[in-house]
Amino acid sequence: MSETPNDPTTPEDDQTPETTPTPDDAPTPAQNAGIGGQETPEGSHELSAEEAASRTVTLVDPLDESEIDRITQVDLNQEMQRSYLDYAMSVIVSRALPDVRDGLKPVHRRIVYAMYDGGYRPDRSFSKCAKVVGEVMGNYHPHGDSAIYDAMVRLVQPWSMRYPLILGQGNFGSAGDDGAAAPRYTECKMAPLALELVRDIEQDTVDMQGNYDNTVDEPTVLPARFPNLLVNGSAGIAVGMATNIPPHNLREVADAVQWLLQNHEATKPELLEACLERIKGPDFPTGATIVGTSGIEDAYRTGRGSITQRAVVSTEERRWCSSTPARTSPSSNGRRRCG
Amino acid sequence: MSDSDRPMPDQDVPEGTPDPSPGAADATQGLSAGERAAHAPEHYEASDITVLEGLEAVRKRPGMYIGSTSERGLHHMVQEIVDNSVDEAMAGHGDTIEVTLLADGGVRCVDHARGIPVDMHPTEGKPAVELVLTVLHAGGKFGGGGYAVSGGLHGVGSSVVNALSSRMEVEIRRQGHVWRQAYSRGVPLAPLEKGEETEETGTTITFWADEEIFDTTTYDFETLRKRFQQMAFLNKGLRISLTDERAPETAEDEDDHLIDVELEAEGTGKDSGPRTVSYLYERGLQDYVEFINSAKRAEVIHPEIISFESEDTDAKISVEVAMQWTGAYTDSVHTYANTINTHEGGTHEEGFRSSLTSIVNRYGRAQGLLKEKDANLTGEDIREGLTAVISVKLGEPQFEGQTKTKLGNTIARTFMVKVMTDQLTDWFDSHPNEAKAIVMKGQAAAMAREAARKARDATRRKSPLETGGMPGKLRDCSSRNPAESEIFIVEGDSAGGSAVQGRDPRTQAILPIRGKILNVEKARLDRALDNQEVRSLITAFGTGIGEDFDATKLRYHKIILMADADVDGQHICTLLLTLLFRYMRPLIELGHVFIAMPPLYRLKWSNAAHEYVFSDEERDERLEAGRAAGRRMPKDNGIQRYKGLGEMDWKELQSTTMDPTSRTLKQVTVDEAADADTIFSVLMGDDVESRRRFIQENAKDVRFLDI
Repeated sequence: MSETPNDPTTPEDDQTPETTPTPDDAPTPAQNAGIGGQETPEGSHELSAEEAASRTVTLVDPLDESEIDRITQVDLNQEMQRSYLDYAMSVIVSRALPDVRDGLKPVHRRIVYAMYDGGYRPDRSFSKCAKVVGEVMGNYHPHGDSAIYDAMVRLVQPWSMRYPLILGQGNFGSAGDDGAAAPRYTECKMAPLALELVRDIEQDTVDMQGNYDNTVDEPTVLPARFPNLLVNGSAGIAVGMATNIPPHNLREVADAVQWLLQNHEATKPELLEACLERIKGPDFPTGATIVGTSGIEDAYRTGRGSITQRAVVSTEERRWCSSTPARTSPSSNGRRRCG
Repeated sequence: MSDSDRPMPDQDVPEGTPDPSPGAADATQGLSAGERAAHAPEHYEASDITVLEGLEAVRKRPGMYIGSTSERGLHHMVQEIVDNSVDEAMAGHGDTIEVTLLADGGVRCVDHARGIPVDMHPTEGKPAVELVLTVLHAGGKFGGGGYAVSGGLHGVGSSVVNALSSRMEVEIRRQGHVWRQAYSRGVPLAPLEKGEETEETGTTITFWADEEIFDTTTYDFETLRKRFQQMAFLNKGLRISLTDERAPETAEDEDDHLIDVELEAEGTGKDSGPRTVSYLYERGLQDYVEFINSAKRAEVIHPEIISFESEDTDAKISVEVAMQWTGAYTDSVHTYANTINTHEGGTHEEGFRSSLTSIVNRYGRAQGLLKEKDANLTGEDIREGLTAVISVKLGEPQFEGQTKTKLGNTIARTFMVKVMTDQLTDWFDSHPNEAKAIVMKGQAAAMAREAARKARDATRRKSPLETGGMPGKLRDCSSRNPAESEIFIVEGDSAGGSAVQGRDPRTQAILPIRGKILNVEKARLDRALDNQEVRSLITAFGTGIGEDFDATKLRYHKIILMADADVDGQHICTLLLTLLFRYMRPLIELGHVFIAMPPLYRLKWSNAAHEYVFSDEERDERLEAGRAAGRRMPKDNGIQRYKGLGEMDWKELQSTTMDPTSRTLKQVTVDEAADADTIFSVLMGDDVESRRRFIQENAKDVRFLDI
């Protein structure tokens, strides 16, 4: 199901950072990676190398004749376009947008896989986050440690993830503005649900590829026995495009998936109807009430839709917020309004 | 002093020798002072008081009358004579004045006006012309009848010139006859002589400046030419010609004394024949403004020159204004009172400035061009690019200031404000498009001024911890010669460390920048300047940015961007190029910007020296060649892909990327600046839609993806 491009819940590069599931009929990021990433660059690069060679002039630097620099001239326009394109495509394909099949961005996938590979399983004891971060960084993700730790902390927070993929012990922050403790203090292990993302990975279920220095292999995607993209949602801003997919209730999504498996020849309107029947709408980790349902249907049908949320306020003894809209901070919003 | 004068036995010669001369000088001075005191007359009585009679005073103290006896004073003599003719022309008599520099050093000025009166003066018993030319404060400009407005008003002009001339000849055509008289140093050589009959009227004055008085008696053609051109501009319809009959080589090319820099010399080729220039401007000040603007080669903001004049006969004042805004960044407002260039401004200029500021602001508010929250435009903003000529003529001008070039009459201010308010407001109302352009020009100037101020503050701000105001992270090179200096902009402190170790400290400076700098395409200049990294870059380059940009202050002739060979490095490159292109474009245009080429891979041959390659093709090629040559590679990690400069130790970085003898640089050139402008807007600007379109259209051209 997850690889069906026309699936109403396929994420696509979305302009508006609204709370929207975003299907479209353009290729998925994963396919982008396959097509744009592997084949074409070779050809185009060859061309550019030729060009560069033809542009190479053995001139001495006009500014300083005493040096013997080899200077190639490069046109500003060309340099800008090429560099920017490389950066933009890399961000789009392999950084900010999730893969539709496992709903993970590369950094998350690498964390989950590294934890699985390193044995930080739910049935074992907690391990220091710093250790996990180090493993992720050393083996799979050649970027800053803080970027990795921040991504990991999010996977722990029950107010960020509808279904956390990592269990944490220690201070992982609060739904307010408090951040997590440093990785040398906090401990973690995989959540049982995360095991379902990697289950059967040894059975040659997914393609593996070499890591950045070709020392170990990493999966291009996780087997993901449940549609994690729909369940946990995802939000990301790439270059020129962005995505914002709300989380859903696992049981409801499972129902809908089962219906689709039984009625795999259903037309799109039928599928939408069946989905709406089983999936009431997004299921946000912070609770709160969704006001109005037309936005939900819009989102499922077109990929764009806007959902309004309202906090739930209890007034029994003193007023307090029992839930807040997704991604709002009770300390900055809720308490001020409720208190 | 006297101690050092005496030769001391133990004093070595080189130290001792320079001393005597100043010492001696002091001594003689002291002596002469003493002498003076000793020889001063002891009696000082009534008989010692002398009264300088008439023109004798002028000859004793010429500076009081013509400013100085230098070249400037000399030219002032011509001016005085010509001014009289111009006054006649302004009064409506005779629109042609001919000035000739004679071969024997004299100057002849011919006009065709009424001629100086030749009748006997009722009380003085001399012909009027003799009075005018020999008696100070005799003239036709005090009473009401002769002139309404004039440049001269003290009545000293002609007589002073006469007094300071070794010879002066006057020829008057008036009342049907030619009248002649000659003077020497202000003394008539003979009574006024009635000559042949003539139908013409006019005056011809020829004078030879006294060599006893003047340091030089050689006139500078250019100085006079410019001044006469100016007078032609200021008196529309007046034809004024200048002929140089002197031998060509006597014409000096001294510096011009007139401060009017706007007037560019036009083809003054030294031909053999007498040089003649002739000026006649029918449109007066409009022609002047047009002339100034064409010399500036500035683009005009509105094609039509704003021009108006007004006269108040009761108050004896008239005002002429011509103005036009150009795209230039400086203003040139020239003010004249009675055709005298009032360099120091004065009341008429004050009136012009204040009314211009309030009128433009009022208009901007009324038309909604200036929003409520906007501050008023300052006078300076409004005058940016303005070329204006203001000419005031008034009955009794009062000149103040050091050089008597500041108008003091308060009526000039009030009248100016009144005229401006009436006329300029009218013009704005009838030319809404032009008026809008003018207000917008003012707004642009205001923004630029604000930005420039920030830029100055940013680049000038010095903290006591930073030596010479350079950013703290800059590891400067020891050479102070920009031509051989280069600066590496390095991504991140990790790579900065390697670079600092691997550099040649004499010529290579390192500036590590942290992470990604601000995208200046999306941020306004003031916000960009708040950014620490942007500020460091600007300060390190030394050129300033935007309007303050000065390429000659560039501290390094090679600015080398050295970012990691990954996509983030490329992104940083694009951000840096955006900063350079938007605010320091000449650096790119002059070829100062380079991109370093760190190797992409290292081929670790186990039985040969490691090889560095800079592209995927090169890697494959070298691999094949290496294998063919029997080289072997370790099983794992034989090809190292460099993801960051920090991965290399400093020796590797030095030999592959930094050492001028072994590195390769990419020089950034701009082939199509207009295209570049668009590309920066699309890639870095606010328009997400066009950026997405660009990415979608070009996605297949991507060179490498970082997965």
